[in-house]
Amino acid sequence: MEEEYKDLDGFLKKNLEVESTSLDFTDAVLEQINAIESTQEKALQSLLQKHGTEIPSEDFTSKVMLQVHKHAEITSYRPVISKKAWLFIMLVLLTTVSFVLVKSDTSNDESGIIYSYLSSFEKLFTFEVPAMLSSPILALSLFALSSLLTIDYYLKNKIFS
Amino acid sequence: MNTNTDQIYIDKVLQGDTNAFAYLVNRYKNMVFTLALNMVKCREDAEEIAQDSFLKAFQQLHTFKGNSKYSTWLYTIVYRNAISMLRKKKLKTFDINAEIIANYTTDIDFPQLESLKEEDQKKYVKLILESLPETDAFLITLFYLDENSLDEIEEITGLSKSNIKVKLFRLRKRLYKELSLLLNEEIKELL
Repeated sequence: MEEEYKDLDGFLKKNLEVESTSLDFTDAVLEQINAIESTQEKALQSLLQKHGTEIPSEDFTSKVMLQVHKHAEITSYRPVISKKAWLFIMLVLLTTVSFVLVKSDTSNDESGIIYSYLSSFEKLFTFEVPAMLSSPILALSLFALSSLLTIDYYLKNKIFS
Repeated sequence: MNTNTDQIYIDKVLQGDTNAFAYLVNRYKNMVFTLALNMVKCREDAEEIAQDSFLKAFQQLHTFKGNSKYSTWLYTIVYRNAISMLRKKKLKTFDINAEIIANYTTDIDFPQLESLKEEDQKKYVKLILESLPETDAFLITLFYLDENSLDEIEEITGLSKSNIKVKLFRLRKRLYKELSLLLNEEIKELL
Protein backbone atom coordinates (compact mmCIF):
# COMPACT_ATOMS: atom_id res chain seq x y z
CA MET A 1 0.00 0.00 0.00
CA GLU A 2 2.76 2.38 1.05
CA GLU A 3 4.68 1.55 -2.02
CA GLU A 4 1.68 2.53 -4.13
CA TYR A 5 1.61 5.91 -2.37
CA LYS A 6 5.31 6.34 -2.95
CA ASP A 7 4.75 5.71 -6.60
CA LEU A 8 1.96 8.25 -6.62
CA ASP A 9 4.13 10.81 -4.81
CA GLY A 10 6.89 10.24 -7.32
CA PHE A 11 4.43 10.52 -10.17
CA LEU A 12 2.98 13.76 -8.82
CA LYS A 13 6.36 15.31 -8.08
CA LYS A 14 7.47 14.47 -11.53
CA ASN A 15 4.47 15.72 -13.34
CA LEU A 16 3.17 18.62 -11.31
CA GLU A 17 4.59 21.93 -12.38
CA VAL A 18 4.18 25.44 -11.13
CA GLU A 19 2.07 27.24 -13.62
CA SER A 20 3.56 30.50 -14.79
CA THR A 21 1.48 33.63 -14.96
CA SER A 22 1.32 36.07 -17.79
CA LEU A 23 4.34 38.32 -18.19
CA ASP A 24 2.57 41.44 -16.96
CA PHE A 25 1.08 39.76 -13.89
CA THR A 26 3.27 41.60 -11.32
CA ASP A 27 2.70 44.90 -13.04
CA ALA A 28 -1.03 44.30 -13.02
CA VAL A 29 -1.04 43.52 -9.28
CA LEU A 30 1.08 46.57 -8.50
CA GLU A 31 -1.18 48.67 -10.65
CA GLN A 32 -4.17 47.52 -8.67
CA ILE A 33 -2.42 48.23 -5.36
CA ASN A 34 -1.45 51.69 -6.59
CA ALA A 35 -4.98 52.32 -7.76
CA ILE A 36 -6.38 51.44 -4.33
CA GLU A 37 -3.79 53.62 -2.59
CA SER A 38 -4.43 56.45 -4.99
CA THR A 39 -8.20 56.36 -4.39
CA GLN A 40 -7.64 56.20 -0.64
CA GLU A 41 -5.33 59.15 -0.87
CA LYS A 42 -7.82 61.10 -2.96
CA ALA A 43 -10.60 60.35 -0.49
CA LEU A 44 -8.43 61.40 2.41
CA GLN A 45 -7.33 64.57 0.67
CA SER A 46 -10.90 65.44 -0.26
CA LEU A 47 -12.08 64.94 3.31
CA LEU A 48 -9.20 66.89 4.83
CA GLN A 49 -9.49 69.75 2.37
CA LYS A 50 -13.21 69.93 3.04
CA HIS A 51 -13.02 69.92 6.80
CA GLY A 52 -9.40 70.31 7.84
CA THR A 53 -8.98 74.07 7.55
CA GLU A 54 -9.41 76.07 10.71
CA ILE A 55 -10.32 79.74 10.74
CA PRO A 56 -8.76 82.16 13.25
CA SER A 57 -10.70 84.92 15.02
CA GLU A 58 -12.41 87.55 12.86
CA ASP A 59 -10.11 90.35 13.95
CA PHE A 60 -6.96 88.30 13.38
CA THR A 61 -5.68 90.41 10.48
CA SER A 62 -6.28 93.69 12.32
CA LYS A 63 -4.49 92.35 15.41
CA VAL A 64 -1.48 91.33 13.33
CA MET A 65 -1.43 94.60 11.41
CA LEU A 66 -1.59 96.56 14.68
CA GLN A 67 1.53 94.79 15.87
CA VAL A 68 3.17 95.20 12.47
CA HIS A 69 2.51 98.95 12.47
CA LYS A 70 3.85 99.26 16.02
CA HIS A 71 6.99 97.45 15.00
CA ALA A 72 7.32 99.50 11.81
CA GLU A 73 7.21 102.70 13.90
CA ILE A 74 9.90 101.45 16.23
CA THR A 75 12.24 100.43 13.48
CA SER A 76 11.55 103.32 11.15
CA TYR A 77 14.72 104.80 9.62
CA ARG A 78 16.68 107.01 11.95
CA PRO A 79 19.95 108.36 10.55
CA VAL A 80 22.97 107.71 12.71
CA ILE A 81 24.31 111.20 11.92
CA SER A 82 21.68 113.92 12.14
CA LYS A 83 21.16 116.65 9.56
CA LYS A 84 22.81 119.28 11.80
CA ALA A 85 25.81 117.04 12.35
CA TRP A 86 26.24 116.57 8.60
CA LEU A 87 26.11 120.34 8.05
CA PHE A 88 28.69 120.89 10.76
CA ILE A 89 30.99 118.21 9.34
CA MET A 90 30.69 119.71 5.84
CA LEU A 91 31.34 123.20 7.14
CA VAL A 92 34.47 122.09 8.99
CA LEU A 93 35.71 120.18 5.99
CA LEU A 94 35.05 123.01 3.56
CA THR A 95 36.75 125.52 5.85
CA THR A 96 39.80 123.30 6.19
CA VAL A 97 39.96 122.67 2.46
CA SER A 98 39.52 126.35 1.60
CA PHE A 99 42.14 127.32 4.12
CA VAL A 100 44.67 124.85 2.79
CA LEU A 101 43.97 125.71 -0.85
CA VAL A 102 44.00 129.47 -0.38
CA LYS A 103 47.14 129.32 1.73
CA SER A 104 48.99 127.35 -0.89
CA ASP A 105 47.79 129.69 -3.66
CA THR A 106 48.78 132.86 -1.88
CA SER A 107 52.11 131.64 -0.60
CA ASN A 108 53.82 133.17 -3.65
CA ASP A 109 51.92 136.45 -3.51
CA GLU A 110 52.49 137.74 -0.05
CA SER A 111 51.27 141.26 -0.78
CA GLY A 112 47.67 140.25 -1.47
CA ILE A 113 44.73 141.45 0.60
CA ILE A 114 43.57 137.91 1.15
CA TYR A 115 46.96 136.97 2.46
CA SER A 116 46.99 139.84 4.94
CA TYR A 117 43.50 138.82 6.01
CA LEU A 118 44.55 135.21 6.34
CA SER A 119 47.69 136.24 8.22
CA SER A 120 45.60 138.02 10.79
CA PHE A 121 43.32 134.99 10.90
CA GLU A 122 46.33 132.76 11.18
CA LYS A 123 47.56 134.67 14.19
CA LEU A 124 44.60 133.33 16.09
CA PHE A 125 46.14 129.92 15.81
CA THR A 126 49.61 130.17 17.16
CA PHE A 127 50.46 126.50 16.67
CA GLU A 128 52.46 125.27 13.73
CA VAL A 129 50.46 123.35 11.14
CA PRO A 130 52.30 120.12 10.32
CA ALA A 131 53.66 119.98 6.80
CA MET A 132 51.53 116.95 6.00
CA LEU A 133 48.32 118.92 6.59
CA SER A 134 49.24 121.51 4.01
CA SER A 135 50.06 119.01 1.30
CA PRO A 136 47.95 119.25 -1.90
CA ILE A 137 47.15 115.49 -1.77
CA LEU A 138 45.49 115.90 1.59
CA ALA A 139 43.66 118.95 0.35
CA LEU A 140 42.38 117.11 -2.70
CA SER A 141 41.38 114.10 -0.62
CA LEU A 142 39.44 116.25 1.79
CA PHE A 143 37.83 118.08 -1.08
CA ALA A 144 36.80 114.79 -2.70
CA LEU A 145 35.43 113.48 0.60
CA SER A 146 33.41 116.58 1.29
CA SER A 147 32.09 116.54 -2.28
CA LEU A 148 30.99 112.94 -1.90
CA LEU A 149 29.32 113.66 1.42
CA THR A 150 27.49 116.61 -0.11
CA ILE A 151 26.34 114.53 -3.08
CA ASP A 152 25.27 111.72 -0.73
CA TYR A 153 23.30 114.13 1.43
CA TYR A 154 21.68 115.72 -1.62
CA LEU A 155 20.70 112.38 -3.18
CA LYS A 156 19.32 110.94 0.05
CA ASN A 157 17.30 113.96 1.10
CA LYS A 158 16.30 115.64 -2.14
CA ILE A 159 15.93 112.87 -4.69
CA PHE A 160 15.18 109.60 -2.83
CA SER A 161 13.33 111.06 0.14
CA MET B 1 0.83 83.48 -10.55
CA ASN B 2 0.15 83.51 -6.81
CA THR B 3 3.84 83.32 -6.01
CA ASN B 4 4.38 86.29 -8.30
CA THR B 5 1.59 88.18 -6.57
CA ASP B 6 3.19 87.39 -3.21
CA GLN B 7 6.49 88.78 -4.46
CA ILE B 8 4.79 91.99 -5.62
CA TYR B 9 3.38 92.54 -2.13
CA ILE B 10 6.66 91.53 -0.48
CA ASP B 11 8.45 94.16 -2.57
CA LYS B 12 5.85 96.74 -1.59
CA VAL B 13 6.36 95.97 2.10
CA LEU B 14 10.13 96.17 1.70
CA GLN B 15 9.75 99.55 0.06
CA GLY B 16 7.94 100.83 3.13
CA ASP B 17 4.29 100.12 2.35
CA THR B 18 3.47 98.35 5.62
CA ASN B 19 -0.23 98.04 4.73
CA ALA B 20 0.66 95.74 1.84
CA PHE B 21 1.52 93.11 4.45
CA ALA B 22 -2.22 92.74 5.16
CA TYR B 23 -2.58 90.96 1.80
CA LEU B 24 -0.07 88.32 2.89
CA VAL B 25 -1.76 87.97 6.28
CA ASN B 26 -5.20 87.50 4.73
CA ARG B 27 -3.91 85.05 2.18
CA TYR B 28 -2.14 82.74 4.60
CA LYS B 29 -3.87 83.27 7.95
CA ASN B 30 -6.12 80.19 7.72
CA MET B 31 -3.33 77.81 6.79
CA VAL B 32 -0.95 79.30 9.35
CA PHE B 33 -3.62 79.04 12.04
CA THR B 34 -4.51 75.47 11.01
CA LEU B 35 -0.87 74.38 11.08
CA ALA B 36 -0.37 75.96 14.49
CA LEU B 37 -3.58 74.46 15.84
CA ASN B 38 -2.71 70.99 14.62
CA MET B 39 0.58 71.26 16.45
CA VAL B 40 -0.47 72.76 19.79
CA LYS B 41 -4.12 71.59 19.91
CA CYS B 42 -5.29 74.78 21.62
CA ARG B 43 -7.00 77.63 19.76
CA GLU B 44 -5.64 80.43 21.97
CA ASP B 45 -2.08 79.17 21.72
CA ALA B 46 -2.49 78.59 17.99
CA GLU B 47 -3.69 82.14 17.47
CA GLU B 48 -0.75 83.45 19.47
CA ILE B 49 1.66 81.38 17.40
CA ALA B 50 0.02 82.51 14.16
CA GLN B 51 0.23 86.19 15.14
CA ASP B 52 3.80 85.86 16.31
CA SER B 53 4.72 84.03 13.11
CA PHE B 54 3.35 86.83 10.93
CA LEU B 55 5.14 89.44 13.04
CA LYS B 56 8.42 87.53 12.73
CA ALA B 57 7.82 87.15 9.00
CA PHE B 58 7.39 90.92 8.76
CA GLN B 59 10.51 91.61 10.80
CA GLN B 60 12.61 89.17 8.79
CA LEU B 61 11.05 89.85 5.39
CA HIS B 62 14.30 91.42 4.15
CA THR B 63 15.99 88.04 4.64
CA PHE B 64 13.50 86.29 2.34
CA LYS B 65 15.45 85.80 -0.88
CA GLY B 66 12.70 84.22 -2.95
CA ASN B 67 14.58 80.96 -3.46
CA SER B 68 11.53 79.10 -2.20
CA LYS B 69 7.84 79.98 -2.07
CA TYR B 70 6.86 82.62 0.48
CA SER B 71 4.45 80.09 2.01
CA THR B 72 7.27 77.57 2.53
CA TRP B 73 9.34 80.23 4.26
CA LEU B 74 6.37 81.32 6.40
CA TYR B 75 5.43 77.75 7.41
CA THR B 76 9.02 77.20 8.54
CA ILE B 77 8.56 80.09 10.98
CA VAL B 78 5.22 78.63 12.11
CA TYR B 79 6.75 75.20 12.65
CA ARG B 80 9.62 76.60 14.72
CA ASN B 81 7.29 78.79 16.76
CA ALA B 82 4.98 75.88 17.45
CA ILE B 83 7.87 73.63 18.47
CA SER B 84 9.13 76.38 20.74
CA MET B 85 5.66 76.80 22.31
CA LEU B 86 5.36 73.05 22.81
CA ARG B 87 8.73 72.94 24.52
CA LYS B 88 7.71 75.76 26.80
CA LYS B 89 4.39 74.29 27.71
CA LYS B 90 5.44 70.65 27.42
CA LEU B 91 2.06 69.83 26.03
CA LYS B 92 1.14 66.20 26.16
CA THR B 93 -0.15 64.61 23.00
CA PHE B 94 -1.78 61.23 22.65
CA ASP B 95 -2.29 58.74 19.88
CA ILE B 96 -5.54 57.67 18.34
CA ASN B 97 -6.87 54.92 20.52
CA ALA B 98 -9.75 52.55 20.51
CA GLU B 99 -11.44 54.38 23.36
CA ILE B 100 -11.95 57.54 21.34
CA ILE B 101 -13.31 55.61 18.43
CA ALA B 102 -15.62 53.57 20.66
CA ASN B 103 -17.03 56.75 22.19
CA TYR B 104 -18.00 58.22 18.88
CA THR B 105 -18.92 55.42 16.54
CA THR B 106 -22.31 54.94 18.18
CA ASP B 107 -23.28 58.52 17.34
CA ILE B 108 -23.13 57.97 13.63
CA ASP B 109 -24.98 54.75 13.24
CA PHE B 110 -27.89 56.39 11.50
CA PRO B 111 -26.84 59.58 9.79
CA GLN B 112 -30.15 60.54 8.22
CA LEU B 113 -29.47 63.99 6.84
CA GLU B 114 -26.75 65.18 4.52
CA SER B 115 -26.07 68.13 6.79
CA LEU B 116 -25.61 65.80 9.70
CA LYS B 117 -23.13 63.80 7.67
CA GLU B 118 -21.24 66.98 6.96
CA GLU B 119 -21.18 67.88 10.63
CA ASP B 120 -20.04 64.39 11.52
CA GLN B 121 -17.33 64.44 8.91
CA LYS B 122 -16.08 67.77 10.23
CA LYS B 123 -16.22 66.57 13.82
CA TYR B 124 -14.31 63.39 13.17
CA VAL B 125 -11.71 64.97 10.92
CA LYS B 126 -11.02 67.42 13.75
CA LEU B 127 -10.97 64.64 16.25
CA ILE B 128 -8.48 62.62 14.27
CA LEU B 129 -6.22 65.62 13.61
CA GLU B 130 -6.35 66.61 17.27
CA SER B 131 -5.40 63.13 18.35
CA LEU B 132 -2.39 62.87 16.06
CA PRO B 133 1.07 63.61 17.47
CA GLU B 134 1.98 67.22 16.68
CA THR B 135 4.52 66.67 13.92
CA ASP B 136 2.33 64.08 12.21
CA ALA B 137 -0.63 66.46 12.19
CA PHE B 138 1.63 69.15 10.79
CA LEU B 139 2.83 66.86 7.99
CA ILE B 140 -0.71 65.83 7.11
CA THR B 141 -1.81 69.46 6.94
CA LEU B 142 1.11 70.46 4.75
CA PHE B 143 0.75 67.50 2.41
CA TYR B 144 -3.00 67.14 2.03
CA LEU B 145 -4.38 70.56 2.81
CA ASP B 146 -1.79 72.83 1.30
CA GLU B 147 -0.47 70.27 -1.19
CA ASN B 148 3.18 71.01 -0.46
CA SER B 149 5.75 68.86 -2.20
CA LEU B 150 8.09 66.56 -0.29
CA ASP B 151 10.94 68.97 -0.99
CA GLU B 152 8.98 71.83 0.50
CA ILE B 153 8.02 69.79 3.57
CA GLU B 154 11.67 68.84 3.97
CA GLU B 155 12.61 72.51 3.91
CA ILE B 156 9.89 73.48 6.38
CA THR B 157 10.35 70.74 8.97
CA GLY B 158 13.99 69.85 8.51
CA LEU B 159 13.05 66.16 8.37
CA SER B 160 14.65 64.03 5.68
CA LYS B 161 12.63 63.28 2.56
CA SER B 162 12.73 59.53 3.19
CA ASN B 163 11.52 60.04 6.75
CA ILE B 164 8.66 62.22 5.50
CA LYS B 165 7.72 59.61 2.92
CA VAL B 166 7.60 56.83 5.47
CA LYS B 167 5.66 58.95 7.94
CA LEU B 168 3.13 60.00 5.31
CA PHE B 169 2.70 56.42 4.11
CA ARG B 170 1.97 55.18 7.63
CA LEU B 171 -0.24 58.15 8.40
CA ARG B 172 -2.27 57.66 5.26
CA LYS B 173 -2.98 54.04 6.15
CA ARG B 174 -3.79 54.92 9.71
CA LEU B 175 -5.97 57.91 8.90
CA TYR B 176 -7.90 56.06 6.27
CA LYS B 177 -8.54 53.21 8.67
CA GLU B 178 -9.55 55.45 11.55
CA LEU B 179 -11.70 57.71 9.45
CA SER B 180 -13.41 54.76 7.79
CA LEU B 181 -14.22 53.45 11.25
CA LEU B 182 -15.46 56.75 12.54
CA LEU B 183 -17.42 57.72 9.49
CA ASN B 184 -18.59 54.20 8.73
CA GLU B 185 -18.77 53.99 4.99
CA GLU B 186 -18.99 57.72 4.31
CA ILE B 187 -15.36 58.03 3.34
CA LYS B 188 -15.89 55.41 0.66
CA GLU B 189 -18.65 57.57 -0.81
CA LEU B 190 -16.02 60.18 -1.48
CA LEU B 191 -14.19 57.84 -3.80
